[in-house]
Amino acid sequence: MRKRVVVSGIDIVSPYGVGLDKYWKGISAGKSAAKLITGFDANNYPVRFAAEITSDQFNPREYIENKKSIKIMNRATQFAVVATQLALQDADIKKERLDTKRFGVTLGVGGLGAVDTELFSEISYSSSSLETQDYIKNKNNIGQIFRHAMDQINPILPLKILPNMSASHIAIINQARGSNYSISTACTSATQAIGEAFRQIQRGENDVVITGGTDSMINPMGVLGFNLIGVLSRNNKNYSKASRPFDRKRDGFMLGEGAAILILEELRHCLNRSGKIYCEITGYAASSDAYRITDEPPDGYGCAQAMSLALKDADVSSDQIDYINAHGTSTVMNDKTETLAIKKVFGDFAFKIPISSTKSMIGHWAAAAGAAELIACILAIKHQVIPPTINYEEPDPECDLDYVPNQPRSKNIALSLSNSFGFGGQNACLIIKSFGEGI
Amino acid sequence: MSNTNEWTEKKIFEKMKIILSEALEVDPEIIKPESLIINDLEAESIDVLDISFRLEKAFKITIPEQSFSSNSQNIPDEKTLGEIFTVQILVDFIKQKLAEARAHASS
Repeated sequence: MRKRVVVSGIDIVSPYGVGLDKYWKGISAGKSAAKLITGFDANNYPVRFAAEITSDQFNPREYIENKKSIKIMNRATQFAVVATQLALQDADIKKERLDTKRFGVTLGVGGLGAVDTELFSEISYSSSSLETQDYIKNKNNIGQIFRHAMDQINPILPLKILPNMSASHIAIINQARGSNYSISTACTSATQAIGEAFRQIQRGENDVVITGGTDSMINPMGVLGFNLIGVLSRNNKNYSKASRPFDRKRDGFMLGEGAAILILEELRHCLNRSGKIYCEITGYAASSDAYRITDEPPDGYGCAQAMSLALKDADVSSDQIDYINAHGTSTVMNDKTETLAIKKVFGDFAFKIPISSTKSMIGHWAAAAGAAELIACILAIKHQVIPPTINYEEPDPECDLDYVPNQPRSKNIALSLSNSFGFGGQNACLIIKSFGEGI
Repeated sequence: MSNTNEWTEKKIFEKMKIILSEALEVDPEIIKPESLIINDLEAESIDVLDISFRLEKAFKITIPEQSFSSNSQNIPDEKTLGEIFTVQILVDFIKQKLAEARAHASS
């Protein structure tokens, strides 16, 4: 029989600052976390804003005990390590009482997100000092350009790029000797990581799993790269209104960054230690569009398939869902397709479910998005309040559902669903349920 | 450019203290010539790479790879690198490298 899985601890490093309180205060008040970029000079960039975590909001040295380890942590890893320490405190887990072999880590991580600004500047600066400019005139000479650059940089810096390093640091710090996975499926990463962690506990492989996601794409390559693909809003003038999911004038997403960490625990394990229970995870499914790299199939069959299978996995009917946290990126295509997919799965009931996109406030955290959004669902259940979709001003005839516009809404919420979709066509969906006395 | 003639043993040690304290995040005051870099100051393999890189930059010398690895030749059989690798060994090493550089420059 499948074991039951609960969430016994959560925490977050977000563009509102460090900690759950700041996060909930921000999203439940409909406050945009948009800022002009400060991490690097984005002065003449086509996009100059993001939901950035500024240096006065986050100083890793305040939180990370082993100071020496910080030098080989990229920005996303620092976020993840700090959020993990806070989530474990929230869960009040006594590590010495855990079976460390059944204590795992499964994290949603970025690919390019790991190449942070510091490493970029080291490599670019080293290349620019090339004495023989002929090297860089010939792009086929990348071998020599790199040979030169790598001779100049600290040999330990490349260790920061490996995508699995966040999960490794977390395991080392917390003596988590169970299975350790990093999942990198673009913007679906964190939702899949949580789903896979859920399965590991269901199958009885682990008692406790640190899961969630972390990413930081607010670097020159992230901003310019996403801009080149044409998915970022360029509303520099009015940047706190740039992310406007489901609104008719939406023109792309706002980048965000952060780490959102959840402690998943087998129900009996949690009850035996009288741990806190935020909610139960009851359903998960993933699918692939197998269609095109950045286009979604017009009828959203992949998204619909993930939602239908997750409902089946949770053994609930579609009309039992009280709140959907949409992927809702604020691109023309995503919001239209996701709306269609929701209608396909929920039928007429689609019009009755409150749906919101917290990306309207916190931006798109790429590989970490799904974890920040599942935490939004968990807090919505805890407070019985739905965070709104802000900047919703003009209805789009193709997006005609209830998007909880601009104001938070009080509602009885027992079951909540969270969607994530990513470039490449991966879709994933999680369902959580409030945890009552009857077990 | 610093003149290599300025590097007395004392100055090398003082510079070494700063480099080691930055790379290993330890209080410079606990670093003594006899401190064991691996066993006392808790350097890991990657820290040895990091230190080596910082020394190259600070003293403008080249340190061959493998110089401080556990594959080094001059370790007595019954000892590990962690038991013999002191700050003084590093200071002597730098002194020798700087002397080589000086000899090379004047030849």
